[in-house]
Amino acid sequence: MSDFPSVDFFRVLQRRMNDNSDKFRALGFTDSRAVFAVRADDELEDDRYFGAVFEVYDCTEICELEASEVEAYDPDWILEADCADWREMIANIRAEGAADSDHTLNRLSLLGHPFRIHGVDQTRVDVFHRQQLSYQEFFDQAAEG
Amino acid sequence: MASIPTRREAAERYANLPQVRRWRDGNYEPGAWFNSDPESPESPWGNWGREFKPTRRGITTVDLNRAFDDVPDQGAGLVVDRGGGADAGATRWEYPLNQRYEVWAYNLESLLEEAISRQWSATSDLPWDKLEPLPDDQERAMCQFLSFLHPVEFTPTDILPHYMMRVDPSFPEVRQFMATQCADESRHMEAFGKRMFANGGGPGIEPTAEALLSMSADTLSSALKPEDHPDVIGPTNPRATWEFLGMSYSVQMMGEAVVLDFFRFGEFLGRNPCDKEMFRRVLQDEARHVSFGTMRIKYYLDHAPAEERERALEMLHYFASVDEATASGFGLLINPNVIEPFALMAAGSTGELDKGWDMVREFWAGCVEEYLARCDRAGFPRRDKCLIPREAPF
Repeated sequence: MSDFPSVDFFRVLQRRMNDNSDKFRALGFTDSRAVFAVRADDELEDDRYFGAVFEVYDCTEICELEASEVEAYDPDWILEADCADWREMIANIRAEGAADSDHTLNRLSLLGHPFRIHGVDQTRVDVFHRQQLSYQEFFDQAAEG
Repeated sequence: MASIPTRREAAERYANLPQVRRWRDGNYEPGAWFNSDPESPESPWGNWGREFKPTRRGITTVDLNRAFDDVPDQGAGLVVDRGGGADAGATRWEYPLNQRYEVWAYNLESLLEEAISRQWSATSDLPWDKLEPLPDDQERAMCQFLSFLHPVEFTPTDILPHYMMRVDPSFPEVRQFMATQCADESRHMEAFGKRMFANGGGPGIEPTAEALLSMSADTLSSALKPEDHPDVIGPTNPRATWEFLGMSYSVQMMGEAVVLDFFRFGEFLGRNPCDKEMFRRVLQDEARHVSFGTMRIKYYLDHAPAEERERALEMLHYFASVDEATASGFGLLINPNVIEPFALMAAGSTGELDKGWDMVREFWAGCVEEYLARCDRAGFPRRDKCLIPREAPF
């Protein structure tokens, strides 16, 4: 699977989500605009941002954004962490076949560290909570292959 | 008491009904439902012949309402479908909540469809076979936590039906969404009840959470004292609109937001796939309820007549101040029977309780910030008024 962080990594998740429509259909409608923010740290020189659009049961768009483009992308929610924390989560998913108890999106973001879930409008951020099974399953697609 | 008719009298009564006599005479000519021209302005078939194409989702309320654009500002007081007709003699009812601004929410239709598409079964959708034995102290803490969550689900299912029956049927989406919420709460109660026993535990001490939450109702009564609002509130019947608005604040926007945070913390603390999935599913449901309450208040404040809006804002702020000061919702976070098991689960063992309490303190600050962000969104900012300590008072 493609290295993280890269637009190819997220496109693989997108393709796997769209190829597994029965699984995502069973979880319910999934509709949001998201940004995955990867913060620079010892493992990454500059911050990177990836936009995603989810519609019905699919991920219909993946793109890389400049920092200056994030606001205009109008995300409902932004999931943000240092690169090392993203990589740890993905490595755990690959090793376990799905996120284990310590690496679920909610577990990682509840206290605001190591991940942070935020946005300009709390009701739009709440979409992340309302549809969380789908977003967890989206990232758990990193385990395949 | 009226006497009950005999079988013969009842049969005569049926036989003498005008339509039955007509059919007995062999006159099967259909009535107005068939003979009126659906395209005529006088026709009861108000929405006949309009274009509507299903989307990939299927047939959704969002698409229907977009196509028909027929949600009225005022309810008809009739138990009929929007756009449909009624017999001339149909009873008109005075529903206390009969204005669109009193009941609607910006995200109502999409939330309703999301609720329908995300229903689940506590019996078969949770991986019960992946529930793992926990250390005794952890299982006891989990069961004590569930002993709070299980009965607290009574609160919305006790309260919501009272308002559902008061909403004019011209706004069925509102009743339908609240019905999904009642179904959600019932399923949560089922899931928590099953989980309490599934791992060898059982119910612990009920922390009187419902009583704590119902303090909000007392606050509301106080906020709606007739002598304070003589031109708005009748002597015995506080205005239903504000009652409903207060309910959306206390139950859906504040109380359920705190419970949503509890569910999120439950997922955070879960140590096996079953507990994780249970909390992930209930938190999804709860977030919908909070979202409805928040955006319903916003819709009201954006659309109510100016004077009513100003007075409603005053009432909401008063109500919120009393709730915050008396900790009627956030009081759950200082209830020993709720928070102590939380801290123990977060700690992992009784020897690490300090660590667990540090997490609870962080959790408190996050809950308050999200509450304030929702107040901002709803249109009654509380940041300079909030009486809940921003940091945990312990």
